[in-house]
Amino acid sequence: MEIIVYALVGVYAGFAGSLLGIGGGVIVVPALVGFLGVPIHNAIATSLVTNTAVSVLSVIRKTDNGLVNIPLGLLLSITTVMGVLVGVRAGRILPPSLLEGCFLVFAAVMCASMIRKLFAKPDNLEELLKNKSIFTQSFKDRGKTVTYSPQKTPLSLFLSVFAGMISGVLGVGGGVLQIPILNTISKIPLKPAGGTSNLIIVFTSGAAALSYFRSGHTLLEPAAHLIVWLCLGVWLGTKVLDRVNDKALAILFVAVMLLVSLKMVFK
Amino acid sequence: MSTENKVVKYTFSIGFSLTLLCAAAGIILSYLAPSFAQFWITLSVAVIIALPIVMLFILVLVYIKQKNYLFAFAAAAILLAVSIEVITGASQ
Repeated sequence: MEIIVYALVGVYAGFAGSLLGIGGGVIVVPALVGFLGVPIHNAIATSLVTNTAVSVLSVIRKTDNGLVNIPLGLLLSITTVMGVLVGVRAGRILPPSLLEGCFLVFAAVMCASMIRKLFAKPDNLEELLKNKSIFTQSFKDRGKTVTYSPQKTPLSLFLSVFAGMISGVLGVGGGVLQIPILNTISKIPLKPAGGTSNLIIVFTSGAAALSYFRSGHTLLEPAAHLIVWLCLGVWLGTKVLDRVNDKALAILFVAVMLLVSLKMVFK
Repeated sequence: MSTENKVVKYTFSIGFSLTLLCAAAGIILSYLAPSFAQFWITLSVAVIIALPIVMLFILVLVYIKQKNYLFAFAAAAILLAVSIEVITGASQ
């Protein structure tokens, strides 16, 4: 029974993580708690290890196509990790309902802007290329080379602090909040936004996983099983990512964001 | 592919391959010789969670070698923030 749960959860988390650029904690934590009766603290610690593994493997596969913007990812990682540190301290002072409210408002604004983007004219990347910066990069999308130049980097940096704070307090993955920031504020197409978010998650999840590992909360055997299975999921996810277009990816992402928000409302 | 892309790709590839090998060895040994399995399973988890820190160290060195001090500073700043998080156990 356990092996089947590890296989299904590992493949699913790897698939979703690599396709959408999220860590996969949204899937791993409830599955470990619900199916295997793992205490929530241990489930979070174990899921942080798998989040790191999913993101590392996704980054390996996505660097080939230029889907990971390393300079931008590094810069945003600073503010996100600092946001996590501030958020954890704020979480001890502020009531959880206020923070959940903040997440829902933030998620609603981001969902609305992504839905609006779905029906609006696509971003004119050539126009945006007039503001070239050190973050300008190209990637391969279904045989074509697309060049983009991230916009409003200072605002993205500021919002990343906020995303880091919320993920630090509520334990929701940074990717769910980071990708809409990259896509709607920085005007980065969803595929490189996902790849860059994977790089940010490597650092945020890796640090938290190390901290839990030191305190002995990590369940090693389930983590090892999940690491083996998620390889298949990541491989499938990146194969699908090569074929899917930005609109379909945006619809999928909005659906995941709504699910996470609904879960928080009915918790 | 740029230098930093190559560095990230190959460092992560080596680290993840090591993790996968140790995890697979641990899982197989847990059926054949359970007393030897724990070491390999622990090693696999330790390698994957240490990988981001190793990566940041390497990136700092690569950027310093390229005289790209802004990003060397960025990587060093993440390294510092990550270290603070790990030492203080903030995320718990």
